[in-house]
Amino acid sequence: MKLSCLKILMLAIWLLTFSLQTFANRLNITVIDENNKPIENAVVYINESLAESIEKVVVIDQVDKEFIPYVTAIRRGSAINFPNNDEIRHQVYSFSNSKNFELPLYKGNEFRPVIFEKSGEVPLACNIHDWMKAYIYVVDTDKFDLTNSEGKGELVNLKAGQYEVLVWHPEQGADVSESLQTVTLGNSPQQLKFTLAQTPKFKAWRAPKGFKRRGY
Amino acid sequence: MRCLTKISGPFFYFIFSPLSVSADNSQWVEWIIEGQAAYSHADNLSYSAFSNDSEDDSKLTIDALLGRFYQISGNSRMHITVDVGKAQYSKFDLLDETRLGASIGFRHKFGLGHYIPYIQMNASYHHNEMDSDRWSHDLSNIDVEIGKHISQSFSMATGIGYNIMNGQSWTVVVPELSNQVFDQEYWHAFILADYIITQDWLLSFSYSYRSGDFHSACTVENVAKVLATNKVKAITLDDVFGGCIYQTEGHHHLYSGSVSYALTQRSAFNFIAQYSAGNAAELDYRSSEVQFNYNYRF
Repeated sequence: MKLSCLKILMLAIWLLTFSLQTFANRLNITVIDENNKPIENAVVYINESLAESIEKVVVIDQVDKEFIPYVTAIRRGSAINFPNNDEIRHQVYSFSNSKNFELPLYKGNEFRPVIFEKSGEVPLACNIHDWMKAYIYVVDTDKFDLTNSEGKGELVNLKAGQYEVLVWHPEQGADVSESLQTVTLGNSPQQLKFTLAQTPKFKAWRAPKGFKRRGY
Repeated sequence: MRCLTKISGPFFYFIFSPLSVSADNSQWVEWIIEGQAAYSHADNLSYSAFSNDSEDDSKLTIDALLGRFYQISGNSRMHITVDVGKAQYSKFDLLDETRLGASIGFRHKFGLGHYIPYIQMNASYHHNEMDSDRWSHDLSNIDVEIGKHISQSFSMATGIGYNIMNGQSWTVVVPELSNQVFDQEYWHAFILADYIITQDWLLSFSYSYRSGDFHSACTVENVAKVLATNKVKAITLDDVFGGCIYQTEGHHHLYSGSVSYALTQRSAFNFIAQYSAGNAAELDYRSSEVQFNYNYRF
């Protein structure tokens, strides 16, 4: 009897290992521009619609008059905390259809985290410092990632099957067809490459063009 | 000067009054520390109406500015600065000058967002001490500007300004005329546009209309022609260009274009070209100037 229990246990472990290999696969994604240069901060994600996530709080900091990080990807239903760690006050706002909000002039951590209930793009700005810009991208899935400086991201824990994989970047061009690919995932990790046309977004924070002109 | 006091009273009240009502959110914020070195060349430095009187020269200037912003509310801020500068001419070294001045400004944005227009008011005072005592003067200025971002890379502004210059009394040349050539009043209106080509390159254009007093130099042989216009308001002997310096009243169109290349977020090389076309009575005044400068903002 004891031997049989041990056999069952070993069989279970083997099955678990096998199933992890079979059903928890990985998609390695590279995002580059038309000149073959890697695109950092691209959001790569699976096109699916899950229910809102349980509360998760992500932080977008304000340091040295910049938002950090520049791009944040979250699952729908998550919250973002916007501490201001500068010595001066900032006024954070967004006019996005996904989330229209304003945090009036503040310093430190005066406000509760903001919850993002709709998926889509949420551009952030500061009303005092025009160059302060950042982006939140809210997705309906828990399978998402941000590309690193080499333009690489990965989607893990994917079961074998067919997926629509999407990519989004604040500076991507108008052609959305290049940001969607369908992939059939088998038992081994797979590579996927996206090439995005880029439309540069200018930041107003540049060196002065002349002496004595004052602005924000 | 009395006139300036009269108009600056309400102006300063308007600037300072928000401080008392928004104390909760108001605070001193960023320091403003800037330095600039420039080389410029003018083809008609004497701003003469006569081609045989025109004198060209180049100068090197350095400027430094220190100030601070005061955040009044989410939409309003002001600044206070002091600045000092030195200019050295290549040929006409009596025009070498040391400038010392201060400015105060108030800026209000009419709401929340990148494309919301703003209004800005500035007042400044500068003392220009030149090697030629008779050219030394004080300059006070008030201007109001409104502007907005039209797109991500294009912004425009327009405004008006009023200027008062106070100078020295010098030799009487024509008894019926004043000898205080540098006591002047004039106003100006301007429109300017900035276009960011890339994050590094910025193009700017401006047009300015100026009306009121200005000064011009002429040699002795042209004095009669100047006086014949009956528009000369003041005249005295000039130790810089060797003839007379006179004040008259007229209008000018000033066109300016600049290209700015940002080396970093804080420093830039700038090239500026200006052309001025003016008229007073029957005389036309033309001058152009080019400038290269390096600007650093800490």
